[in-house]
Amino acid sequence: MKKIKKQGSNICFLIIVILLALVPIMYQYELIEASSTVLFIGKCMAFAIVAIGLDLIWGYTGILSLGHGLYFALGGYAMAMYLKLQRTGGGITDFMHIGGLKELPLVWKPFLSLPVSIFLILFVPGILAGVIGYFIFKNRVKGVYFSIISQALTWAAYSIFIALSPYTNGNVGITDIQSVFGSIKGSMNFGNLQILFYSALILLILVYAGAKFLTGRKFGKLLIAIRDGENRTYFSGYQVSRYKTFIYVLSAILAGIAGAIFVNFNGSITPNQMTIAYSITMVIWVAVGGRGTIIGAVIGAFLINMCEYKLSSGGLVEVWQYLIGAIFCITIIFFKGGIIGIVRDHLFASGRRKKAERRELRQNS
Amino acid sequence: MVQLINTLFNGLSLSSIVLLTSLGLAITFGLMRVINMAHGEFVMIGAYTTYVVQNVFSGFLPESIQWIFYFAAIPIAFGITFLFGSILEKLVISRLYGREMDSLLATWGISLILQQAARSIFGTQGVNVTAPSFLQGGLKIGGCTFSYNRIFIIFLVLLCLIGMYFVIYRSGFGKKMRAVMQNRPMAQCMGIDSRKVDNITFAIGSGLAGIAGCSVALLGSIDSTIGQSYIVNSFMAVVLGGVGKLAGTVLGSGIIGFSSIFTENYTSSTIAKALVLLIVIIFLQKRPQGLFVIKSRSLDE
Repeated sequence: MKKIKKQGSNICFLIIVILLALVPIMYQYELIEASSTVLFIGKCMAFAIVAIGLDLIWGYTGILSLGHGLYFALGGYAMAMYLKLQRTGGGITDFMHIGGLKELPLVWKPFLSLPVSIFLILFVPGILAGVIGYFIFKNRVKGVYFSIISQALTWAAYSIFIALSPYTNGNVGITDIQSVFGSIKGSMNFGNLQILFYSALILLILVYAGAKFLTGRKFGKLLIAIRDGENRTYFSGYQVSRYKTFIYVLSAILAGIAGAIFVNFNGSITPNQMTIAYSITMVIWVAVGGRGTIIGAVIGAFLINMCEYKLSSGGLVEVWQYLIGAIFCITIIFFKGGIIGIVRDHLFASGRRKKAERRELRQNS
Repeated sequence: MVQLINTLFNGLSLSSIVLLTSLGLAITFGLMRVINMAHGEFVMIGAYTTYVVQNVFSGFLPESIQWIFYFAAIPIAFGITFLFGSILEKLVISRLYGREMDSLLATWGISLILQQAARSIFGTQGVNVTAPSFLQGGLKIGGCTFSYNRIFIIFLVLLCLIGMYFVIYRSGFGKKMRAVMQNRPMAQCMGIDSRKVDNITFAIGSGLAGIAGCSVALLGSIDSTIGQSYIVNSFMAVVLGGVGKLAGTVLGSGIIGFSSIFTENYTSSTIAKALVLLIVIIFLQKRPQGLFVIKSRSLDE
């Protein structure tokens, strides 16, 4: 029992991984009918990765970013630009043609090669987050001020992105692309889908393990210390702003990776992923799953998206909007720990209470 | 010369719109430290209220005195958003005092619900309010044209500002309000019902958003996302001005409004707005507290 409690989150993650690994096999034996469901679950893995990143900065460090959609979209666009050039064979795309460009613009040139593209998927969100984080955290902008500034930044980036439509195709985004491993639509391309799905799963496992590793040691304790008492951590001699910048950059890179995976499954990317609303949706996943636990972020991302997928495919889109608003509100007000918090406090509470009573007895005697 | 005057007038007009939407925030965020993400949706409620009032009035009023609807719409919009604000404070905000980030997120949930409600009731298509007849057209002086509805909004803002000044600094309630915001335990010891003060303060802030909604309705079509397009600028105006000072918000809105219009001369209007926001963010690195700082020696301010 003790072991289950201690390893509970890892066991939980293991179950999720096994279930995910079974998805392509189930599709093969037609237990899952629509290929769109498989693609959707693939996207959920991307969402889980960005949720882990968000949890690292919000749940652990107490930095509430309302602009992670920006990094997600940057990673996604970097991937999409490479994939689009694969489709056109390195020539200019249709929207550039309409935008009046005669040849491939300089910004698009690096995306002709895959290694450079992958490097940029990590580098662009990372460097942007680094610059923003360095200045903001050095000047000790914190709490809600950071949230408001991140929101304004995202909005500004979104407007500029749409305005530069010959380069980015404005509102429409980059569409009609295949995955890195070739087309994944149709039954004859099932092999490609399988490779893509398992690569994404491996990435998810790596990110989870990495996050667990980081938070399980002194560094993780320090992040929590920053969240609970930033000034005290300063006075204890830690360069808080450096730690904050580091974790913020890391989280932005994770968002970039997630965006890249998302594009592969989705087959398109739009500036919609860059909006404030989308960024806060990511926060909802983490909040409902349980902030401050890595597994909570993963569960939240899967659960909320699955529910949305099930409900929105019917005529229940309206209901879903009301429901998600209400769920979010109630979670924030009454269940700060999200689903994980409920499980921890109610399922395992009796044991802990007993232990506390025993300790009290010992102290009294 | 003509162009300069036009630019200045446009700047003044944009500033007044930003100011009108941020006045409510200056109270809920500035005084109460509650980040109300549903503020934009209160603006939306105000705008839709104007639309509904227009339709109701056009049912039984003759054509010639139709314009009365607008003067009825302003107090009605204030009343309705005041009520909404009061309910929201009772149900949600009052449970989250001292948890700023959580209040931000919870009100976002509310804003999702309100947006969907607007879509369910009024549809996804935008609706239009016809400006009352006396606000159509513009005042011509020399080569410049000043459109009446923009002049009207500027006066409306002035009226709201004066009203706010009297409520906050000259009335008995304002005294209680400032007392609670400055030193809650001490105010409670003096027998002030701080819960009631919180509730009414928040409701007034929301009511101002409703009035902003009335003026926004004059400027374009109304849909469920109308609030979102104003909220970012408003938050930045409040932060730039310095949280907790009415004068700061006025200055902040002015800076954002005028600089957006001036930048617009060189580039498109969306890029101009984005650039101004970036510049404001860079400026905030120099003075994270904003322009007007309330001096405090406390560490966690």
